[in-house]
Amino acid sequence: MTTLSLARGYRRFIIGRLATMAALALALVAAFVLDVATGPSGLRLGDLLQAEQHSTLAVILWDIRLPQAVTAVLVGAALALAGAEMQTTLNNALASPFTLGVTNAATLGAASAIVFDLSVPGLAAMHVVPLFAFAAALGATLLVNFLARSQGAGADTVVLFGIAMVFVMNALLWLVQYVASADAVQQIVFWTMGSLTRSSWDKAAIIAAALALCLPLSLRQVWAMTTLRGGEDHARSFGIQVERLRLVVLVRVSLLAAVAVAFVGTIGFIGLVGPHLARLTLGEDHRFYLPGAALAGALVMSLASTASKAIVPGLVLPVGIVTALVGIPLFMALLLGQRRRP
Amino acid sequence: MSLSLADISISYGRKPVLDGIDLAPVAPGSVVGLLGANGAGKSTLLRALAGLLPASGRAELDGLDLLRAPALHRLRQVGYLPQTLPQASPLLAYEAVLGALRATRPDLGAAAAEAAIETVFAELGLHGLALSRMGQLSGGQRQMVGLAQVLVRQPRLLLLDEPTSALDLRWQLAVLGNVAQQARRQGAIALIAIHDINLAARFCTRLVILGDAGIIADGSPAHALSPDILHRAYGIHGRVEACSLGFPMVLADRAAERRFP
Repeated sequence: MTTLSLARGYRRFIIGRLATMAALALALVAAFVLDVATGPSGLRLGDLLQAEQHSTLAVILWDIRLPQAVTAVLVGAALALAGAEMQTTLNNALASPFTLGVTNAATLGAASAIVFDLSVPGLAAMHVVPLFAFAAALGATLLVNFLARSQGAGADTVVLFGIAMVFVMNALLWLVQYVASADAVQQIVFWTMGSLTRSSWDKAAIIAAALALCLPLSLRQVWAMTTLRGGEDHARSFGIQVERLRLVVLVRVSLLAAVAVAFVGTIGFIGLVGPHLARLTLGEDHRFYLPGAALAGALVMSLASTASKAIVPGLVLPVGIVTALVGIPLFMALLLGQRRRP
Repeated sequence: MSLSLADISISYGRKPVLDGIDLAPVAPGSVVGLLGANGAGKSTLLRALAGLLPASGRAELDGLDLLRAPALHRLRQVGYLPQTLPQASPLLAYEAVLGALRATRPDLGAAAAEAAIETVFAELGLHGLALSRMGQLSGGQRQMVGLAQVLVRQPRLLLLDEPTSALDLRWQLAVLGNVAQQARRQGAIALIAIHDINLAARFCTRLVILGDAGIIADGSPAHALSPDILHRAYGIHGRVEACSLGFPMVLADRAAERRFP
């Protein structure tokens, strides 16, 4: 090969990846439009767009369908970004916000806030539930990290303590449900199925703010995370402080998972499927992998939102059920496809 | 530029692994083979010099105290290849090297980075693998990429832990020949922990042999290797003979005793 021919060859890969990301973004726009156009009322998008201001049709478009569709995109991006970062820092392709009990802790925090009617002086009621979800998720994350560090802080140790945390958080959640009123239990059970029906612009803005805070911080560490894919020993040899990187990532994941869980409940598999789709189509150069995972997660979640309204006409299924039902076969197909690759 | 070690001691918890190691100055362009039985402390010494293990004493590279220097200063001067192979992952080999360069030299411009990567792939004969995924490469090929990640930074001190453990005969010769050439050309120093004594005797300008009591031999291959040293370092009865090319060659006859430190 001639001088700098490798750089030229590599640039072709980069162009291919940029094209893939553009295709993902276009698919996301199409999925978003489809999501807005679909609803239990069966009203067509054209009719909704032509509706007069403050009319019922305008309310359906602006206060129901659009905030739900935007929330689906944001939650999908947040969960997939969180999953991608966890998979890299824990060196485990099955890691997601569920793995370390982050989601379970956020669920416990939010459920406690609902059941015990917790409040924070000076804070609007709408913000109390996500605050407690985040506090619980962060607390669980820091505890897992602290315990793992005391035992050597390897990625496997973090995962093991995380799995223990899942069971502890589930037990505490059952305890909260046990002492809760029947109404509150019903509310929590419905909420743990994951649903976009409680979406609003205010809540979407908070999820967007969390993403806007976390994504640039993630992108600042793309080289460190790319290098970490070579293994912890090699990353350390390049001066990367692996334990510190893992802690920072886990705090980010706590925030992303907590806001998602606090507003839409438990949504499974997006944190797994998003990163896997990105890995298959974009590789693991984190300059592309992280934003690609966010795009893929947003796309899958947007499609799941549409499916949740289209599967049973006139009825909106909890989107968490749809992501689980669609996510499991998709995930299996991805894994089997990956095994067949050379 | 020279490297010298004085009174280096390293422990794992309360268990001392190396105690009071001294190494006379190593001249630029030298390739030093670090030999010794399993558990003698070869990897431990390299990890400490790379700043990955706490150690007492003094390790000086041209005035820079390696044990206390800020990480960024040390990374500019020292390249360390761990014993473990780079993981099989969907990263391209090119990206693995680019990532290593970016993580340690964020100041380097894109053109300079591309040129450095091109050179290291060409010199190691890895051009054909550069745009393959790490997961598609064999263990030996990944080891070569790991070496490329170190060499691309052109460090003044190369710390290589078993750099040929996964390589076939052809690549063993190519890698050590390349390291020796780079050391000579750039006036760098290579400190290589290695089990293959004959390979070390062929390419190293100096051998440092670790035993239970620290350094038990230090000198040119012809001087450092002897039946007595082989017995003390490895617990074997062996011979040291000259091969037809003039390099010392070790022939291991039998184990003297069963032991594992």
